[in-house]
Amino acid sequence: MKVHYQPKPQSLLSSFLLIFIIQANQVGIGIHGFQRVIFMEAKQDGWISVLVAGFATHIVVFVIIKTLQIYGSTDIYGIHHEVYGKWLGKLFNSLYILYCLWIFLLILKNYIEVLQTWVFPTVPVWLFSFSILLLVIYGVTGGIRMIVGVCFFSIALSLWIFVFIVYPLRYTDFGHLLPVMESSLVPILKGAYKMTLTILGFEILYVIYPYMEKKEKLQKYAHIGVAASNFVYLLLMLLAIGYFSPGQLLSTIWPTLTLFKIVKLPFIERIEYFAVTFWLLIILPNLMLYLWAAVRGVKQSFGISQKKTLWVFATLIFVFSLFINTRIKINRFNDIFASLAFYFTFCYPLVLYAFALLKKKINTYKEQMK
Amino acid sequence: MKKMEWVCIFLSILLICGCAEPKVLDRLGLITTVGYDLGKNGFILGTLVELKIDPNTPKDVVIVESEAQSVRGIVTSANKKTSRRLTSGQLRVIIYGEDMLKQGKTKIAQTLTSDPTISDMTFLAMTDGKARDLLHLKSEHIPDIGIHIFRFMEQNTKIKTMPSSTMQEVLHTHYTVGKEPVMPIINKNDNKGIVFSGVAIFKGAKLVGKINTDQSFYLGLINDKYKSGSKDVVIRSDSPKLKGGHLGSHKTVAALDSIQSSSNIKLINKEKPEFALNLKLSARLLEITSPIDVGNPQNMKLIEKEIGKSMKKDIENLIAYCQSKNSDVFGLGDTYKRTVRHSNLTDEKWYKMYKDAKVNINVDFTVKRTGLNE
Repeated sequence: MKVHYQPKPQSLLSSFLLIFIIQANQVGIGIHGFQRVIFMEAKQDGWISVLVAGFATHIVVFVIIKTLQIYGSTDIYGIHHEVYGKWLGKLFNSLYILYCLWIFLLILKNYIEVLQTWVFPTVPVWLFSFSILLLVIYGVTGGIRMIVGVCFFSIALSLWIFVFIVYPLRYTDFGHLLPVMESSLVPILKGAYKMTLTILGFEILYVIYPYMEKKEKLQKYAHIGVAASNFVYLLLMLLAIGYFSPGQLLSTIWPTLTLFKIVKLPFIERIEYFAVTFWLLIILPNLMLYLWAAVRGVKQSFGISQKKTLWVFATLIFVFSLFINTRIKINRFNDIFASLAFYFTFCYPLVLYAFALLKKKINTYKEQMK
Repeated sequence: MKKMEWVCIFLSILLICGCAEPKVLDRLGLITTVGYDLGKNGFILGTLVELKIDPNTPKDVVIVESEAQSVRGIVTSANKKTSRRLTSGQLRVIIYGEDMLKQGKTKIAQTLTSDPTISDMTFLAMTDGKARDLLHLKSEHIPDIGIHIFRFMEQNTKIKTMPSSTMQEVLHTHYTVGKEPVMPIINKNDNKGIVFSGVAIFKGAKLVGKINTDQSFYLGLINDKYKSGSKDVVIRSDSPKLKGGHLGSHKTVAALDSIQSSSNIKLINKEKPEFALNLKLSARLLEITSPIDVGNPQNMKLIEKEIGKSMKKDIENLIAYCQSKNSDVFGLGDTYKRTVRHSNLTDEKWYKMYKDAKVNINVDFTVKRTGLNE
C-alpha cells in the first residue's frame, strides 16, 4: 500500500472550501441539545466551557494539519500504515473506519428520534433510515466533489435560521449569566468535555486532506471553519442560558428547537416543524462525509472497491438503526460514544503526531547511517 | 450509473409521499381554549372549546366537556364525544379554575410543554370559580368564546394592562429560584362579557393570593418597563392645594397617560436582605380633579412629589401583601442570587429570608407635559 495518495487533478478542491467542509461537518445533530448537557455541569458558566472546548479544538486542528504536513499528500490511513507498519496499521485503520460508521449511526439515530418526537410520531424508523440512507448513498457515489457541494449548500441555505434568533431574544434575560465564574474550574472543564459530541467533525481533515489544493493555505482555512462553528455554539449557548430559567433548561431535551417554538410568522405559525424537517439538510453533509471516509478507508487499506463496501456499510447501518429505538437506548449509545470519541478526536491526534515525528526522526537517522 | 441514480431518486420520492398520518382540516376539531377544573374524586374536569371547519352547520364552535385523571387524558376522553379528531395545535388559551390552582398539586403546565404540538406562546389565565362557567358564557356579542378570550388577552398584554402570562413566561419564572409566577384573573362580567379583574400570585405552583388590577399596574412597574401606559393615581395629600377635589370626596385623582418607566432593584445588604428599588417614571398629566393651577411650576413640583409619594405608599402595600403571602413575584430572590456569590439559594431558603426582606422604595416621578391645556 502506498502512503502517498495523489487524487486526479479534476477531483481536487479549492482550499477555501475547507471552511465549509469543517463548519458543515461540525455543526450537526449535537447542536439541538448540547446546551442542557453543558448546563448540567457548569451551570450559568456553560458558555465558558464552550469557549474552552473551542480553544482546544483549535489546538487539535493545528496538530492534525501539522501531522499531515509531515507526509505531504496523504490521509490518516496512509499515516497509520507508515507509522505502525502493515498489520498494526490495518488494525488502526479498521478502528478508524468503525469510528466513522459509529458516528454515522449516531447522527442518523438522533435525527430520527427528533423527527419522531416532534413531527411524525407514527412513522416507523425503517422508513426514515431507509430514505435518508438512499439519499446518502446517492451523494457518496457522486464522489467527493458532490459531497463538498452539499456542504456548501447546507450552510448557504441554512443561514436564514439566524434571523429567527430575534424572536427568543425578546424574552431573553442575560442577567441569568450572573454571577460569572460561580462554578469552579472542574465543572467548567467537565462541561467542555461534554462538548465533545457536539464539536467533533473537524477530524474529517485527516481524510479530506489529499483532495485539497494549495496545502500550505489549509491551516488558515481550517481555523476559520472551526472559529465559525465555535461562534454558532457560543451564540446558542448564551441564548439558551438567557432564554430558559435554570430548571427549565435542565428539563428541556432539545433547547435549540424549543427556542424556535415561540416563533410565529403570519404564514407559518409553528416554524419549529419546518426547522426540524429542514435539519436534514444540515446533517446530510455529516452523514455523507463520514460514510465516504469509511468507504475510502476500506479502499485505501484493503483495496476493496468503493461501491461494494458502500452497499455493505449501508445495509449494516440500516439493520443497526432498527435496534436502537428508545430514548434510553439512544442516550446510552450517545454516552458510550461520547467518552470514546473524546479520546479519539482530542487525544489521539496528539499521540499520532508524536509517533509520526518520532518515526520521521528514526528514518532520517537511518538514512544518515547508510 | 445514471440508471441507478434515477432509481434512487424515484424510490426517495415514493417513500417520502404519504406515509405520515394525514390530517385533513375538515375532519379535525381544533381546540382553541381549554379550561381545567377540579372534579370529583381527584379527577380533572376539562372544558374544551372546539372550532370546527364545517360549511354546513351555522355554528362552528362546540364546547366539549370531559373528565380524566390526567391533564393529557382530557383530550383523549373528550375524543369519545366528538365526530372530529381533537387536536391541540391551535390551542391559544388555558384557563384554570381557582380550586385547581389552590390545591397546588398540579405542576403548572409542565405536562403541556412536553407535547410538541402545543405552542409555548399559549396564554395561561385563572378565573374565580369554575373555568367551565366562564367558557359556557353565552352572549350575542361573543360568537366564539375561545378566540374572544385570546384576543382580549392579546390586546391587554400588549398595552401591559395585564401581566404577560404565556406558558414560556410562567414556566420561566416558576423554575427560577427566588421568583414566582403570576397569572391574570379573568372573570365573567354579569353574563355579558369578560373582564380582567386581578392578578393571581403563586408560591411554587400554589395559588396563595390575589391582587387587584390597580396593584397589577405597580407590579408591572417593578417587573417590566412601560412604554405607553395609562393610570389614574389617587393622591392622598395633606396639602390644601390638593384637597377638595370633585364630587365632595376628599381625594384628588390624577389621570396619567403615556407613562414611561424603568425600574432597578439592587441588593444593598447581604446578611439581612435589604433591597433598593428605584423607579423612574415620566408621564403626561391629562386631568387632575382639584382646582390647582398646573401652569405654575411650583404647583407642578408639588404634584410630582405627591404623586410619587402616593405611588410609593401603594407599592409598599403591595410588597407587604406579597410578603405576607410569602410569594416573591418581584424576583427579589433572583436579584439576591445574582449578586451574592456561592449563595446556593434554594426556594425553601428564600421563603424564610423573603418574609423579613426590606425594600427601600424610591419613586422619581416627572410630568413631561400636560396635554393641550395648562
